Amino acid sequence: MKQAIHKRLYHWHSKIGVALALFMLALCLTAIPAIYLDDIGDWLMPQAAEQTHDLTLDQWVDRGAQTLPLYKQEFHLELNQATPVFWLKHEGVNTAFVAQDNGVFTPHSGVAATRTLAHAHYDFLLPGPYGEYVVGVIGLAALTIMLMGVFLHRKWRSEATVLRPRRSRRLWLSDLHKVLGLWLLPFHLIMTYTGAVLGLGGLLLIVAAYSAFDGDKQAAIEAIIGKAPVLTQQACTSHSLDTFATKSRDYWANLYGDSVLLEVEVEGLGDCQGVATFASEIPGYLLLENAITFSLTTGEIQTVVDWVPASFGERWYAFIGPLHFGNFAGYVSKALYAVSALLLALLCVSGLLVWLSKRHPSLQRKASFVSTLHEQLTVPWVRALLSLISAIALATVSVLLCAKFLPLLDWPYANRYQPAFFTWVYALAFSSLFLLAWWRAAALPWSLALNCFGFILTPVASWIVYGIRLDHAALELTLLAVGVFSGYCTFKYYQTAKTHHASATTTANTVNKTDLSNVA
Amino acid sequence: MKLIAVVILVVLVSLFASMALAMFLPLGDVNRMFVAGLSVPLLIPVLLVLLALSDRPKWVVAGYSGALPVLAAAVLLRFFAV
Repeated sequence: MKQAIHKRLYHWHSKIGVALALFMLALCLTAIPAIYLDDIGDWLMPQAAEQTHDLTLDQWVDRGAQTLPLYKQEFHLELNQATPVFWLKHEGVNTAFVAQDNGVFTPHSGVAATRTLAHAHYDFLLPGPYGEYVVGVIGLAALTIMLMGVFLHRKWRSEATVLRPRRSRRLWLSDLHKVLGLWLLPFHLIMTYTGAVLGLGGLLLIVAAYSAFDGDKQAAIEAIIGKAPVLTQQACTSHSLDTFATKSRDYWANLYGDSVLLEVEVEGLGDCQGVATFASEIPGYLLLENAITFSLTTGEIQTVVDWVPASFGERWYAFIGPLHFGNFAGYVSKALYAVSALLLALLCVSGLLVWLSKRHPSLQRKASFVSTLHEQLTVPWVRALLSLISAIALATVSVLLCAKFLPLLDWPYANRYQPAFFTWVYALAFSSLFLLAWWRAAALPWSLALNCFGFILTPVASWIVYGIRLDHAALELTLLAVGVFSGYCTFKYYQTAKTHHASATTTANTVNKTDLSNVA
Repeated sequence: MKLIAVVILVVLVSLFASMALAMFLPLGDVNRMFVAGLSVPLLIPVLLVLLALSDRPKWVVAGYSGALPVLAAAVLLRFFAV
């Protein structure tokens, strides 16, 4: 490759990379709770999980009718986690209910909290679809710089195995950046592409609709999932949902041998035009869930969405969601995705530090990052990096802490205000800490200490209030480990502060003595 | 300014190219829709990298001036013909 082209590629790779680094880091860190969202939900709502374990679908509907007078309008039931969640749609607003100890459905803080953590990853809690578009554009830009990286590092065989920790720090960071980038390239290409498609889905639908349906977006959607029912408001007797569930299971069993029911969506229960859609996962296929829509009054099948024998384009689309969410192989794939997300975060950090080390001589020294932390905190980018990591951790644990203990307060307006409450908790905890620690380096140890306190308090308080449960041990021990690590970071900060202060005093004394001797 | 112009041109070429690709391939409506929508996020980064790899500005200008009108005309003709 010509030197000018290499130089230009490097220039754009570093420019776009620096502009993206903090956003990518935020996406990687928020991805980790998003990967374990089901487990967090089960941890937040253990009683609900036990209450609803063996209910049939018709029992769900009966229970819903006892406590939710509006349940007939539109609802769906998520069955793909230990705590089934009953979603009620009323006047365009979705509210989640779970069964409590006394058997009635109430809104639960756990659902609102997990949705907040999910939104923090896929739209940065920004309003409307704009947050998703922002994340989609970041995904596109990340895909571009990764492709540029492929052309930049054409000697990949040698670069993928070289790490020189004993040389200068810049060289070591550069080696680390190349090793991480090259080894994890396939995973990162998949994540950024699928993330860009999911983020920009609303805009891509317009392109899709213009290429096949004369720009009619509704027609494009109906071509995939069938027409939405037009409710007549006339009362008719509805068939049993359990019968439909059996029919759905038999239908997929005849074709593929097995299926797992994940979600039931009902529109107009008791209405003559009411329908029920049963979404099922077909084991062995990395595709979106298949779905069958039944007429509630006649019991006939209205629409079947089957991604397995679908055309190339349809399978391409059905492949994207499961590949991005990474729960196709249970805890194995979840763990792999979480580790890869952490390594991608490290890739962003190492890239940014390589770029910074050209501009700040203090970052080029051989001494370790921790021992020269105080010098490095004078660089605003380093402060931004550390405060971002600390602020995301604190915002996440604040939401978890509030969601775990809010049910104890028996808040009367929970139904209406919980989603907004958790959004504000996350946004305030994140923005205040990030801005404070970025503005004043002295605020950083305080934020670390707060993290230590929050991450240790949450599992310990949960053990005291709700008791120790072995099925939640993994999550609680992880929280505890993060708390201990934050505490260790705080301790190291103060330890290096002491050394830094002592060396600064010695230098000042030496300078004073030299000045005095010069005067004498 | 130059960067914004480059990004806008690349996005336009990618949109027209993905739509043209989907429209002229022998695909059904649903299949065509997905191919058009899903190829855009692939084409944009690939075109940007190709631009960065090109060291002859004349070729780039010729590429834009050729590809944009041809792809746009192909898409619009097909769109209005249907």
